[in-house]
Parts: sequence; C-alpha cells; structure tokens
Amino acid sequence: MELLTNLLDGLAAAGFAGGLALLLTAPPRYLFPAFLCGGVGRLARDQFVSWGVSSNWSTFIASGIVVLLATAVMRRHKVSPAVLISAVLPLGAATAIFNMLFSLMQMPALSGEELNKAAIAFAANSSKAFMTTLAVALGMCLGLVIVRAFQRDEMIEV
Amino acid sequence: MTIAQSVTEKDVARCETATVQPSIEATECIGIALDAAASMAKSGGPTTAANQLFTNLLRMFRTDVPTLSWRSDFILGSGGGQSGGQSSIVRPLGGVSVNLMRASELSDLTERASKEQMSPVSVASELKRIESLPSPYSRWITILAAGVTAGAFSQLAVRNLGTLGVVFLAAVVGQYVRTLLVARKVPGVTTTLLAGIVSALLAAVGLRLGLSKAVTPTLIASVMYMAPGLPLINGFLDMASQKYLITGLERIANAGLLFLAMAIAIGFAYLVVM
Repeated sequence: MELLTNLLDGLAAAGFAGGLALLLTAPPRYLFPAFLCGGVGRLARDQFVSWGVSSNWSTFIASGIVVLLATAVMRRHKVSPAVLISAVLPLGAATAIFNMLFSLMQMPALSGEELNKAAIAFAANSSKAFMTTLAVALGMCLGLVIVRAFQRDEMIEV
Repeated sequence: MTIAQSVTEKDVARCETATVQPSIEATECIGIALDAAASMAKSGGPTTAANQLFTNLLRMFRTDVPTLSWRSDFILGSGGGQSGGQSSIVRPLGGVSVNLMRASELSDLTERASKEQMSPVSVASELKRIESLPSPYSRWITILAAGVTAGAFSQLAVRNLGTLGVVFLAAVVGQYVRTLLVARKVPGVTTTLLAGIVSALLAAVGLRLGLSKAVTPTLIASVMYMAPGLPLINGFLDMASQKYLITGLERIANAGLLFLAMAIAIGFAYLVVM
C-alpha cells in the first residue's frame, strides 16, 4: 500500500518536473529525462523515508540518484543543467517555504499563545526549507563528483 | 547589452590575431568569453557552468584566464595585460531571463571548446545564433504546461480530482496573464504578484464553491507554476561550491522575494474570498 502511494506520488512528481522543464524552456529532447528523473527522485526519497531514513538524508540521497540517473539516460552520458534542475525541484521544500512565509505574515497581528505557536511554526518551517534545499544542492554535488570520477570527459563542474 | 552589440567585427579580427600571436588585444577574446559566460548566467545556468564556459573558451583561444568576480547584476574580469598594466572588463547581466534551451546550447559549447579548436570568429557567430534562439514552445503549450505542473504538484499533497481541476484552471488562467505581462515587459516581481493573485483568487473561488476541501494545498499549488526553484537551487549550488558565496546569497534572496510575492498573493486571495 505504501509502495503504491509512493508510486503515485512519484508519478505526480514526474508530471511536475516535466511541466517545469517545459516552462523553463528546456529543449524538447530533455523533457522525457526530466520527467523520468523527477519521478524516480521523488520515489527514491519517499522509499528511503518509509524505510526509516530521515527526511534530509533521504532528500540528499535522492538528489544524488537523480544526477546518476540523468547521466545514465542522457545521450553520450552528458549531464545537462536543464534536466538536473527540473528533476530535483520536486524534492524541494516549496510548501515549507510558503508555510514559513504565512507564519511570518501572521505574526504581527498575533499575541500570547497564538504568537508563540506562529513563531514555532516559522522556525520549524524555516529550518525545513533551508535544510531540504541544502540537502538537494549537496546531493547534486555528490552525484556530480561520482560521475566525474567515472568520466574523464569535460562536463559541468559544480 | 546583447552579444551582437558588444562584439564588433573589429573585435573579432583582433581576436584572430590574438589567437595566433598573443598580445594586449587578447582583452577582446576575454570580452567574447565574458559575453558567453554572461549569456549562460542570464539564461539560468549555474554560475559554475558559466565560469567553466569562460575558462574553456579562453584556454581554446590560448589567452591567460583573468580573475573573475561574479555578482548577480554584473561580471568583472580583471588581470594583467601583456604590456604590464592592469585591465578590467565588465559585462552587465541585467534581468535574468530563464531559457534553459540557451543554457543547454551554451553547455554544448563548453564541451566543444574543451575538445575542438574553434576560432573567435566562429565562437562569436555561435553566440549570436544562441542569443537569437526562440523558445521551442508556443505560448499555448506553456499555458497548458503551467496547468499540468500545478495540477501535478497538488496531487503530491492531496489526491483529489476536484483539487486537480481547480488548480489546473487557476494555473492556466494565471499563466495566460503572466505571458501577457511578460510581453509588456512588466518587472518580474510585479508579474509574479499579479499572476499569483489571479491564480490564487480562482483557486479560492473553487474552494468557496466546495470543489476542493484542502485549503492550503490548493492555494499553494495554484501558484506553483511560478515557483523560483531555479534561482533557489542555483543559489545553493553557488554557495556549496564555496567560490560564489555572494552570488549564491543574491540568488537565494531573489528567490525569497518571489516566494514572498506569491505568499502575499495567496494571503490576499484568502482574505478576499474565504
């Protein structure tokens, strides 16, 4: 049941990544790799979380997997920033960023216990947004380091 | 300033001389490489990729690589000239206009520069070609893609057909408004705010009509097609590389501003409709 849920989430993430790639005007030949890598990245993250790995470590590993998969499926195994960036975006913490901003906007009008709750929500969502985005970026760096170790050709240096 | 404006035939002729016989005129070669790097940064490529392109081109031109200073609004290349003096070249970046098609072509140019020999003339003409590349997708395709993107995101939070329909429609209309504003050269934050208000208002109306029950996920998903994930990830990549800390912080601040505009749009729609 959990796997099915993760698969459906992976499919939604694939649609999100493919759509974003198109909105960011990625070349048409990169749309399918972005769709595939976005879906697999999210599926991998959710699976690691369901196996008990922490959310940040799962995001870090999934981001690295996205880079390796993108390299494997691309023509001449060339890593493209268009595919990488579109495919890792579903791993991002957009909802946490919005919740952080909502708490920030609410705080001036609150007092007492409600203010405490909003402040705690702001701190928690800020931390989640920062750590998740950092995990995505560091996971990409790790993936690129691994790819570079196996490829001597010139490629994107991150 | 476009590449077509900044690189003249005279510059290119000087570069040909510089490649064969290095001289003070190598500054023109640096100018061409800076134009390429600026184009990569403006198209949404990571700073590291832009810097790699710059370095590869100058190595191919057999020109000394100067020190580069990156900011979100300009690039400064400075180094010692052959005559012993210090020279600096600045390229303004202006507003970032994300086009991963161009970033991808420039990435191909990086690879070619590391493997084959290209003359400055051919690099300059290749840059002109890349700068003039149109978007591979029509306006209606991008409008549809916005709906698919937002709809797919909504299903990550709540799996419900009503939510999917509301979010899809809100994003489609919002993206239509966004393309109109972009065509009128309205600044980025204002465009994001206005398109966000339209999308969030439509999503709030859908919620009010009972088409969806999940308030926060629906409102957030309705504006997700404008999420500034690209500057956010690029900013963190810049910071992680340890070489472009300031540029990374600037990119993250820019992404934060756009997220704030979207959050204000959602808050406004919530107050008006809900």
